Amino acid sequence: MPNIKLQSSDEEIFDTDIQIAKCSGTIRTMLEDCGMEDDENAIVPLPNVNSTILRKVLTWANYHKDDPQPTEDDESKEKRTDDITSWDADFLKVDQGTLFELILAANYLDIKGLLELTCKTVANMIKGKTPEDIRKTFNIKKDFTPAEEEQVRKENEWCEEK
Amino acid sequence: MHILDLPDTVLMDILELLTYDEVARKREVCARFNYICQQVLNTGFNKVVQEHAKNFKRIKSLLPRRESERRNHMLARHSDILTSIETRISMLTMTYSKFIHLNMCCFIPGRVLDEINSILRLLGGTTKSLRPHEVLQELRDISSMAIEHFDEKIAINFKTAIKMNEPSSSASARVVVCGALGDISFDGVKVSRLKKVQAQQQQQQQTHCHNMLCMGQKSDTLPQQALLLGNTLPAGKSTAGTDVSQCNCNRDRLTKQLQRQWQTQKVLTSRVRLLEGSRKAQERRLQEALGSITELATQVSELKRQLEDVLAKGKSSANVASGKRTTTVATDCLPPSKKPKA
Repeated sequence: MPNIKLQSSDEEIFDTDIQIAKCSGTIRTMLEDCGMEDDENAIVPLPNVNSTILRKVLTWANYHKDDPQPTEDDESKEKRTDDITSWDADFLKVDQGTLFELILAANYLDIKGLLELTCKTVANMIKGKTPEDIRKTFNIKKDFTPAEEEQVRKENEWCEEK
Repeated sequence: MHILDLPDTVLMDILELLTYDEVARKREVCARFNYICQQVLNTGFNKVVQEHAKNFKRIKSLLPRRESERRNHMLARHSDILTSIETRISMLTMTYSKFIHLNMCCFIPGRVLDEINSILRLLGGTTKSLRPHEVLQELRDISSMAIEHFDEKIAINFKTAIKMNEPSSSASARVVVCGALGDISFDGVKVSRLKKVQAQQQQQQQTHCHNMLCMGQKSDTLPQQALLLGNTLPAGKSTAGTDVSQCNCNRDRLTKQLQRQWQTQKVLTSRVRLLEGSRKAQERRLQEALGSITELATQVSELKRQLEDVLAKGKSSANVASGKRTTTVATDCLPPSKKPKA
């Protein structure tokens, strides 16, 4: 299997199997559009991903290289966030900062599976929590003016049990 | 790195994974969350409208073309349910879309979206005959609650805000009812001729009204300018004796004329506004009536079905009863023949 060199933002070179690299839509288009596929020594620069994150992304891609291609989005499909495999769950036992950087990397590299997985993980962190809990979990500052907060609260009042 | 450093699209992807009810509640976290959740809810509503249209099209294509055959078809109830949902969607559209377009709020009731989605999933997953009344009960309740609350508590403040900002825009911003509503056309309702004529007149007046409103505003300022001019001009020429009186005469006449025009314009614009208001109220009432008509229609068909069920049951039980009677008769008949032997 031919290899390809990926260069992270901190200029570390990752010698990667081309099949694994191609799970990223961004790299795939780059290779196909620039005709770099046959060039053994071509280096693909990835200025938006640092080496720590790129290493994690490649670990994930390596584990999931044989996954079937995701089918077209079906809107009617019920939203599920509880279908994360145990390997993926272990893989994402990282601090919040790394998790968000993984999301950014997956978004930039256009890796659908990883983006979906990371988004589900964050969604699970949000799910079922009160706004106050969420602010605590993610260290968010409440930046509403009292009037704005009152407005939102009033708008949501319609379905409150009396 | 912080969660709020993520781009909007990613945050929207994340929140899309929650139920819309939960999305609505997460608006209270912070301003950014509020903004993102609003976007998610608005796109969620659009998605629901599209999903409903897709489902309706699919069911319609499966139903026979003839009304008589359609009524007894397996999927007839599906179609009834989808029609009811359509009415609900158009009521929701009328309530919220104007303010969404004006960027004053979002599609607030996320729970309604969840309910519609779950009904659509239910319809997509089964060809069994469903009971419209039971399926739609919750949706009916919560969407009415949401609309009532919005009209009574939320929209009032928006309306005053709109009036303060730009008085004429509220007339021009007409609610676009979702495209699929084509089925419930206004011609379908029997309107007496007189009313039709009235409606036409109102429409005509409405088309005029935009011009009139603009003109009204302009003409408010025009006479004032004219008056000012009239006041200043002759003052400069006051030396020319007879000319002055003539000039004054002309000026008086002109100002009087202008004032009269101004008055009539004012009266006209106020009348137009009044008519516009009553037209809106009537349109609203008509929509509501249409909604209840379709709902009643589904209820009637549901009742018919239940009646048929009951009738069928009654027949079968009657059969069973008669069967029993014959057997009892038979057993009644038997013993006498046996008795002598004993």
